[in-house]
Amino acid sequence: MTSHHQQPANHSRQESPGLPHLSQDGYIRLAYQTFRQLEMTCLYSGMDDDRPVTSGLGASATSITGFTEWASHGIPAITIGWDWKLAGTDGKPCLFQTGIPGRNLMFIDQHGQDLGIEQTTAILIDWLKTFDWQTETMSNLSC
Amino acid sequence: MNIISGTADSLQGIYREQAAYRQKVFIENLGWDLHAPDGLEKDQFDRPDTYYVVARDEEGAVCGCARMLPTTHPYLLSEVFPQLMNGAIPPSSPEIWELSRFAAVDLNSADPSPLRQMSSEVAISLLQAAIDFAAQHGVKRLITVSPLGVERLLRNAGFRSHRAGPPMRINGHLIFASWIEIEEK
Repeated sequence: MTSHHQQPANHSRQESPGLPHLSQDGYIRLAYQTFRQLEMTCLYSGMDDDRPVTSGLGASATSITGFTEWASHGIPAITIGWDWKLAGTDGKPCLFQTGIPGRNLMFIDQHGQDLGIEQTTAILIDWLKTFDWQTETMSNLSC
Repeated sequence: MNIISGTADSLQGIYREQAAYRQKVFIENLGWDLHAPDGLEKDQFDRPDTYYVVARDEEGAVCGCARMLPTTHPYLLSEVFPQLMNGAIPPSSPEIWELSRFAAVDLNSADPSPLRQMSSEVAISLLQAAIDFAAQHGVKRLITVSPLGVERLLRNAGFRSHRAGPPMRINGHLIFASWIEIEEK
């Protein structure tokens, strides 16, 4: 499995694209290809205890949402967390990522330049479609 | 809504009201293991040089608070939660302040959930006021220690922030440290 991240653009830092390294601003800067080689583990998952309740007469009040937290091994660790909602697909319950993932990761290009917050976020959201985080998250919920 | 900022000395009675508000929110509502002698939640970081940003509703009741500490002196993250820094040394700089005890809960609301109210307009206004107050003092970045739910506020409201490290479960609560960049205006 893999991971990613983001932050302010215009940060140019020449850092070795090897193991995670913590920048002074708190970001771990990595190329996406390097990130993909790292193993990410599910740390915590949970359901929101503050999930919104639909109001109104006769309205259904079933909106199950939650969060899941993943991190790489060792220190410094890459941390990524995102929200999910439970919805049915073809009669089967499934988790869908929602919102903007939280992270300490900033992707860099081949020149070591930050890709910026928006692009890093977009890559991260795409990355979430590349592996089955849902099974692990649901398993985590039942622990 | 009215937002006021200052030290305990300058805020006088409002300081006590925010301490009582903290007791209700963090101890009674969120169940944090904190001290509240005489019904006032405070710790060793509530010092004469500590700044507070306090929101009050139309009736004058406190509906939000934030505590701000320079990182050049001991602060919550450096003394109690350095493990949240992902191996980095907690910052010490006149340009970095710590934001802690952030809450925006209307205790008179029918909605009992403090975390849900973190996305309220009060929460956003309070955080923006805290950022503006820090900026007026030459601060460039904030470092926070917060429940994980605060990250939703930061992300959804468009604040420029990122995690300092992974969240950790401490005393049953998921908390994390986050950087908030103060943009120049």
